[in-house]
Amino acid sequence: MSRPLAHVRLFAIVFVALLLLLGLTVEAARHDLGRWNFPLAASIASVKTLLIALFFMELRHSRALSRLAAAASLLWLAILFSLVLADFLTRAWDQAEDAAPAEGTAARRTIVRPQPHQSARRNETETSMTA
Amino acid sequence: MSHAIHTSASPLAEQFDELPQQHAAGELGMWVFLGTEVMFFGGLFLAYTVYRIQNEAAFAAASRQLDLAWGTINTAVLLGSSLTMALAVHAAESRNRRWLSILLLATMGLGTAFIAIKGLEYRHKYEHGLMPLAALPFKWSDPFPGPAKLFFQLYFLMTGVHALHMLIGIAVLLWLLLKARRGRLVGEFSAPVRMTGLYWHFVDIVWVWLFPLLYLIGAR
Repeated sequence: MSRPLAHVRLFAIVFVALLLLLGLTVEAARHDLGRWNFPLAASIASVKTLLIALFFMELRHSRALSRLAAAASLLWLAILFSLVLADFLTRAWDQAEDAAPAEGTAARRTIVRPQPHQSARRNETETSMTA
Repeated sequence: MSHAIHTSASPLAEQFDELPQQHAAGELGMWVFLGTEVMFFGGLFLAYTVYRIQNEAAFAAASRQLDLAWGTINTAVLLGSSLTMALAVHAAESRNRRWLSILLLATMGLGTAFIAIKGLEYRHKYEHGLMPLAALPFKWSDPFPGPAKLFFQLYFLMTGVHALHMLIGIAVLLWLLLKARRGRLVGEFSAPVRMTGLYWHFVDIVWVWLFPLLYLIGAR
């Protein structure tokens, strides 16, 4: 009877770890860490994902083929994000033409460019994201 | 190969030689299905990412309108349902019928609680004119009503599709519970519980990402 209880204990530890990570990510969001807020939240979500996949989904005991299928879905997700973001994250160069904004692109630029009534902090993050 | 083992009482389906082979095939199929789900949600997450890069300040302001307390509670509720689901799988494998039923019921209960809380949040957004779906009004006095509207549309689309997955999961759990009551899901018959568990945990992981992206980007 020790094995089933060992399982319960392990799952309970993982659950408590997940709750602690939840508390950590909520607490971190209440502080202004500048551009580091998002990377921190994403890192915590990654650790939570890993805990759920390895322990609750038993991926650490799974067959190699199942792990390969799980890894493949992440690979395809990475391709999707890399190719699209390689476009959107490298569009900042056309904002240098501020002197003579073309008619058609004006609307889009006002969205991308920092506005005077936004807080300075947000502007900073925005520029660093689009730079 | 005797035909006697291929009766309805056998856990082994006709097309497989032995149980490990059947389990391997089922597990791989489930992971491939989850791969298609990753791509399905991936498109939504990507749309969110692109629009957030373009409208960071407006998205942060809109995110502050979401209820952080309910969002946090709901995350804890969903993580709890993953715990009971993992325990249910273990109860099925160790032939514990009583606990299997209890834990399936607990998972359903926590899943339903999640949906109920989500419903409360939706109603609150509707009452405050922050549900810009179809012809519903969108009331936004701060700057950038356009991008803020976009945030709320993404919020309802992403959490809505996630909630739909939860409802499907709850329906499957109900089916499992009825089967478990007849003692059909333990030991070598426990594969359906394991597969449902994989699906349920996947839906949990989707929320683990939705929560920070929707609720926590506003630096409150």
